[in-house]
Amino acid sequence: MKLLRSLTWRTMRRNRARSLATLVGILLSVALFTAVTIVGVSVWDYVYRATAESWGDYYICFPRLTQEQRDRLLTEEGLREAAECRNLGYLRFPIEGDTGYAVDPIAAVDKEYFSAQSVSTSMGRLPENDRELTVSMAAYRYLCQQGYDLGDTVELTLYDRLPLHFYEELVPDPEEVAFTREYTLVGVLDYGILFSQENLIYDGEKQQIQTACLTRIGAGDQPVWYRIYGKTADPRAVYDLRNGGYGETLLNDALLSVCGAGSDGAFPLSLGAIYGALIGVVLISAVWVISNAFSISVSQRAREFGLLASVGATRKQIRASVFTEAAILYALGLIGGLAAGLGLSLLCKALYGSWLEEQFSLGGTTPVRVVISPPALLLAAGISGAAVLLSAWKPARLAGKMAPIEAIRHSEEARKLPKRQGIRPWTYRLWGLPGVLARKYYAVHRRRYRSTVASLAVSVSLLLCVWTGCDMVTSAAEASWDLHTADFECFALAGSEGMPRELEDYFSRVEARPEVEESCRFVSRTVSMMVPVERLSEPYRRFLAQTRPESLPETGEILVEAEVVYVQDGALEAALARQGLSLDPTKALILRQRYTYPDTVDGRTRTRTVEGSPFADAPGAVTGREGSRFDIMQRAAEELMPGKSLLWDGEEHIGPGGASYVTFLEFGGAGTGELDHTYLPEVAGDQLRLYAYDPATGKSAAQPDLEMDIGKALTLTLGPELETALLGARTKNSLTLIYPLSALEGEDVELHLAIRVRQYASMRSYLGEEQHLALLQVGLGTSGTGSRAFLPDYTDYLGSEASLRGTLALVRGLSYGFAALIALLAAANVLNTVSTSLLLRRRDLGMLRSVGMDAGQMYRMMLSESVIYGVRALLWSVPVSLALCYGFYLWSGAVDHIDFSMPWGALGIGCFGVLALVLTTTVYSVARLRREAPMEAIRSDGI
Amino acid sequence: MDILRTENLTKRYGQGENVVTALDRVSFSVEKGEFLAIVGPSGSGKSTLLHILGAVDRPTEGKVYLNGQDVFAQNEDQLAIFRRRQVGLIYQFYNLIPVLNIRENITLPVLLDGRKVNRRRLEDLMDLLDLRGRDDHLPSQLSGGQQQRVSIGRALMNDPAIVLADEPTGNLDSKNSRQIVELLKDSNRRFGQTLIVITHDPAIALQADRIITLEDGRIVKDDKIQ
Ligand SMILES: Nc1ncnc2c1ncn2[C@@H]1O[C@H](COP(=O)(O)OP(=O)(O)OP(=O)(O)O)[C@@H](O)[C@H]1O
Ligand SMILES: [Mg+2]
Repeated sequence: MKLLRSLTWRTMRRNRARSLATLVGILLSVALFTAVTIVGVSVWDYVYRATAESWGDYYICFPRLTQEQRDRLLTEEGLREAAECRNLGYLRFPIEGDTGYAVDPIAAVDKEYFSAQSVSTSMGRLPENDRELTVSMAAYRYLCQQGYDLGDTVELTLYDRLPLHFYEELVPDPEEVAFTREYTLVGVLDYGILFSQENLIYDGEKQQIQTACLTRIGAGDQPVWYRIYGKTADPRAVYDLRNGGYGETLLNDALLSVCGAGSDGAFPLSLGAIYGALIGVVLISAVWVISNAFSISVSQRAREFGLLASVGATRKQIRASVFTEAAILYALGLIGGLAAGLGLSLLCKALYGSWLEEQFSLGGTTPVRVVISPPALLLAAGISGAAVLLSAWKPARLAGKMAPIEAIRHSEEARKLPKRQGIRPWTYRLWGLPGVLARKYYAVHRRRYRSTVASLAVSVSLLLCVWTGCDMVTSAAEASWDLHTADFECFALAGSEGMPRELEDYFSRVEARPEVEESCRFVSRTVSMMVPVERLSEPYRRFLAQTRPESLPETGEILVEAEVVYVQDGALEAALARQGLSLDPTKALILRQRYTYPDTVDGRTRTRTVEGSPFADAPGAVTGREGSRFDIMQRAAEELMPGKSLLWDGEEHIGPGGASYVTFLEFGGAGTGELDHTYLPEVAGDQLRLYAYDPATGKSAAQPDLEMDIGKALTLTLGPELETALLGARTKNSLTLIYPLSALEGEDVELHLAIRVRQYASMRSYLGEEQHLALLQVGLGTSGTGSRAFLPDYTDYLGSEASLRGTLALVRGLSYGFAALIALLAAANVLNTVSTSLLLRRRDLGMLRSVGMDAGQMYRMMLSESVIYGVRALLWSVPVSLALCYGFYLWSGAVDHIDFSMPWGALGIGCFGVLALVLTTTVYSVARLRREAPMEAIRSDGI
Repeated sequence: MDILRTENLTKRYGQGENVVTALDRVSFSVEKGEFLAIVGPSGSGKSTLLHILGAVDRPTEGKVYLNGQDVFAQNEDQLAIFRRRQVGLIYQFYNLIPVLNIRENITLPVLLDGRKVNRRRLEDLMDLLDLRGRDDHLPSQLSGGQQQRVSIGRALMNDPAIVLADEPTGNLDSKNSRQIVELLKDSNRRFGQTLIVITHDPAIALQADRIITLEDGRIVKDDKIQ
């Protein structure tokens, strides 16, 4: 027994190359699996924390709870964590130019609250003791007017307490002073939209301060209401809690989605699912690499076992030998693999950690950390262990099945050579001797090569599928999320007299900021066009039939909303120049989109001819808001029923006979009922006539109830498609017309400034300050003009879309990482099989050399061989995976939203990668073999 | 005229304490057309010497000159051409290519040289070696003696200048043995080939022109036979 074990050990040492190849296989698989799980868990952990940081660390929020509801909620079994905000009463601020008061809640919060609700300050800091106060922006403005600033001590008066739904029965009573206390003003809160009026004191001692305050005003120790942020043990349990009789609830959908419990089940991307698939594939590949590494030498080992058996080793002894070898290799591979996996994860963190932070939290403070999950490591160990055992067992079983001499004598070659063995002259002429030899060797080692071919094929297929899938998912996500090209958008109203000086200054200041990478001014409007149904393009008609069947009549005209974007002239010219186009006033440029339109679109708009403008006929000259169908109907409704509370329901209906009619809804009395007014519209020239209509009978009145001027009809000739995206201009599957901004001269506009920035955080704080400044100026009445029109504001697209963009970037990053991983595994597999099979043939190659084969012939032979299986792998994988991808594209219903894009990049990488891989491995191995004298190779048995 | 000359050929295996000196400063020369037998006890370095002469192994020290040219001064490709054109090597352990059948194994040096196979010569050799009807068999389907004959065929197929045979009759019965030796001698005589044979069989050694005896890697005797 002892001898046998030492024999095993010695065989391993002697066949160092083989053992090493196997070891590398195990090590690599364990390392990859470990790294993938660690990275996966860490990314999830990061996404969770980053989401919690920006959206709050809670699953469900109960914004207004009574004492009794709160007590009941805290005993709920499913609830795991709860952070409380306890409303103590209200502060009152006089409103300027008004006799009323603004009533802002003041609440005591515990420490958990600050993370649960994810509050931050726009100025100063959060309170740290019960003498410190943070206030809302509104309260701060009021305090500023009183001459206070941060750091000052303020005497605040807590007024008596209003009922739960205070907004219903609010009757302010300025006389009713309850309790006054001094606080140090330490910060201004930066909430989202919710609870933006709240002022907070810190009650770290859990209700003591609160009780003290409340007892003083004689309210016992009961706050007016509670707000609780909770987490349930199982995220899905929030949906039960929501219906638990706690009144209104708010779900933290962002965080719930991260936990896989989002309410929008149809969300196209589930990171978890993608990652699960990834881990599965890595696992399978890892098992495969291991079994490959082992099975390469099956025949050789079978021969060894045959030898052992021939000198009398029992099966048990052989088994023991197998186990010993497997155990040694496994132990080494596992330890090395776990270490390498951890190292790889740390490397990933070092390389991509800051990228991830940038993608997700945008100047947030959540750092990426490496999370090691023991179950995942155990799984890695277990599965690779099983794979090692099974693969090691195979040759022993094979040897057990044969008579020992068969195992010794029968090298696998003898049994596997194809029947026909003669070399026909034409084969020689075609392939040359090296080619013929290559084909023979390929035929003989077909089984050994099969796994190489398969692993190559699978890798290429996976690469193609992942690539296409990633493309599809990202374009679908882009289409459905409607992400903006701009990071920020500033906007302000400019009067028709021309742009006010302040506005011009403001825009120029923003444009000149060092953070700004690119900026573009634009104005965007919606114009309604009446398009004859028969002129709709087929895809657009199908799209309408699916999404708004009620608005698609068989004949007549249909309303097509067109987006008209007036882009800063310089930017437009640059975009046109990039595409080699020039501006043609007679044709409307359209933005590239999915649906095709006819060459011309008939529009019916109220136009105002601008003297001397080449764009006089464009909808650019539409006056104000009056062009759209909605506005026309709104105006008609107002004229028909002046002084009534009316709602045009916005939809057209198809009546009997295919006539389309419109309905106006009138809110009767005190919300008791509704009255319909149904009309058949008729457009004649530039007149709109409305006839009273009864949809039940399809009869309409003979005389119109209303005759109204709706402006002249015009026909737009559609020009070329603009391929390049313009900053700020985007299309949402609707006709988007592009005009130069100068075509709008002399009109009332809401001017926008789209910005792409280099540094998000500093730009945001700049814009925020700018805005605060303006608000304060207006609030304090110190603004020079006092013009209300001049109130610039901005939208923070990058911030609000951060998590979506982050998810998108993450999906992209994951997919590419995944593809890279697959390529790596494939490379490892191929490297392993090719180099080991070359080593196994060391002796054969030595013999060939000893009878005079030169280097060129050897290279040619080996290269032909590798080309045979490389091409074979490609021939299999490319059509199959393309078919799969296209099948998936059709099946997923993505046809209607996005185009199928041929994965040329992946194809190129795949083909090139495969050939490069097999060629380099071969060349490397042959070069290595050539370094020794032929006799050395011949004397070595196998590797 | 000397066709082959060695100068202080030394071959050592292993390193440090375990070093084995298989050849120790062996110098001799062989004339063109000479039939040389090498004898010696097992492990005396006979095969090692032959492999170095056939340029399939490299000496640790010393030189081999063929027609006055230093064999190991050539590069790997020149060596390959040297092997397939000048030398026919018959190994002690056959060393046939397992995936090639008998005919292909025999014609391999010719094919590698990109020349046309001389069918007549092939048929003759197959006849002489008693391998008729075995053309399509693989080496692993043959007996030891048959494999040995195939390797002899491979060595002679190319009409090399030097035939190096390492116990070519080790696995053969006496009748077959005689035939093989006849074949080698015939070839030696007819084509003026130089023939170097390692053997344990005194009957064969005595047919040679000259017998070199090796012991512990050294030439201890060099007898010319009249
Ligand atoms: N690869 C090697 N590594 C170490 N020692 C070797 C190696 N090859 C041969 N030897 C040693 O070199 C010496 C000469 O070996 P060689 O094969 O030349 O003997 P031989 O004379 O042909 O013997 P036999 O008549 O048994 O074939 C032997 O002692 C052998 O152990
Ligand atoms: Mg020998």
